Amino acid sequence: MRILVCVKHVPDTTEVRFDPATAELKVRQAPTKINNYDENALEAGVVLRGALGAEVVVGCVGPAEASKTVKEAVAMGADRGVLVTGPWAGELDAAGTARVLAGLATAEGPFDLVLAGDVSEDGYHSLVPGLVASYLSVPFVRGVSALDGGTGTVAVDRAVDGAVESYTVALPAVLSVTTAINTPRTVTKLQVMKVSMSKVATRSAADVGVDEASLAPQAAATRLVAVRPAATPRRSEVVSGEPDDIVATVIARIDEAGVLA
Amino acid sequence: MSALVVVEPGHDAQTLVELARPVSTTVDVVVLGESGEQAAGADSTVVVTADGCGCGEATAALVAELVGAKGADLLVLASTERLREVAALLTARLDAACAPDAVALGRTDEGLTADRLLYGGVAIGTLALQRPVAIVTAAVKPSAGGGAPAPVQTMAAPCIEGKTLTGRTAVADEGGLANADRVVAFGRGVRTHDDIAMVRALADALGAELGCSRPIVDDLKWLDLPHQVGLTGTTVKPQLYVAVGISGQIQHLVGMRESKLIISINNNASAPIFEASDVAVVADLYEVVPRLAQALAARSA
Repeated sequence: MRILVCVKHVPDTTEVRFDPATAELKVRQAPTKINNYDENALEAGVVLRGALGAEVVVGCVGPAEASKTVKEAVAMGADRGVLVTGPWAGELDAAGTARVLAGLATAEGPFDLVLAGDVSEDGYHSLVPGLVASYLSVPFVRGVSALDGGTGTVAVDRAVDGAVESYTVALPAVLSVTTAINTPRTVTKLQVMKVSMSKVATRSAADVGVDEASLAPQAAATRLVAVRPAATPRRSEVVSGEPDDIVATVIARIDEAGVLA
Repeated sequence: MSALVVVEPGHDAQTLVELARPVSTTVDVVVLGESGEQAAGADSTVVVTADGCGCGEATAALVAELVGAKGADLLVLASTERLREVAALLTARLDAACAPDAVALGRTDEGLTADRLLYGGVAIGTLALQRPVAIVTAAVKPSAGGGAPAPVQTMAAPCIEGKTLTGRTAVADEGGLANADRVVAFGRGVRTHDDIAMVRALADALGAELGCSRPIVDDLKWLDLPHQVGLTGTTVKPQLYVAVGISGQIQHLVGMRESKLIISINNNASAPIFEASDVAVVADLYEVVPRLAQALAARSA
């Protein structure tokens, strides 16, 4: 069995700031990391390998520095990683990313199972896994919270609004997982450093059969054209001191606002 | 420009109709299911019952057929778990431009645009939708009921080969969070699982629903997703929101910043939650929360 786990190299969104002076988002200055949700996908792949025997390959589309994220994923238990990168890699939309990932899955495949996190922390589109499944013409299940491997099929549970649905899915297939599926193992910086770069291959768009020109922002399905701040801060009243005084003030504010009625 | 709005039974389609209206000459509503109400402000509403298993691929095929039949160039889907899956499949199927969780739509010389939150809610970005068909998803409210029933039509929706639905179990709707008048939510400032009882006592004293931040669900797994307030959980808009030991990462703030009165309790005076709060209690939550619960309970007794 061969499993491809798609991981995204993302900025730490808690460190991304909007700069009112330049009306720009300060993204490049933010530290970068592996997308949390993809860690759950990787853990699911590694667990499945333990049960069934498999090769687990990490696939990533991103800038050259994303090799750091691929190395981390290999340290977490993948057998090897592939990073598809190029000058176009910084500004891909979901459809562009998915086309490159589908190309990677074909060029490095065939794969029985493609796993990814449900969403990315930076974009929150939750589109790429479903797009990859569509481009590969295989079944897709989103929101997977339990996964059992079998011969040629997998059994999955997924939470939808107000219900849990169970599916049997014939392989090959694409699944995106929620954080409920497992708790990803943690790795130390030393373990990541020890990963040999020979386990991280780098490919161009052409290597995976995608025309670079088709990845230009003008050719993309969606393109970011303007940015503005999301909300203005509230003018907050700071309350501190003795606990009993605090309690009295808080109750007074609740009453004044009439929010208990 | 012709828009097709797609919702599920129990949804109030009106907010989606209003989202589409400024950029559309006609707005038609489809309710995917067994029954549905006429949507206020729409040109037409029809209930479409699929004769298949209702899996994502089958639903995508059915909606694609409706888009073709109507000649729609804008598709607005309720941003539910089920329809988010369908949105991804339709984006590939129709080679569409997709903006999930759109908050506004606009039109420029270059075509349709959609506004959506970026980087967990730090900013709002405007996306140019550079394809002949645009797909957006947007938050939808539950219907209050009582509307006139819409006509029902049955359509074939063949399932994709290789994917078989083997069971569907209804889950109790634990979180009345989305429509709660009062919410008390807690985060990592609460040190142990046992201490949840202390927060729950405050929620009970206020007649509030219990909520939490993402790490409580994702990392500690103390509560389930229906309790999570924020971008990946539930967006709440209560009269009163009390944040207990929540630092206020942007993805949490996005889910609660529309609340009327926001009171936050945190011992870190520079916690980001305070910027989104009306009352910033800088104190040890273990000293304040039990006293506050007791004082409120004593008062109503």
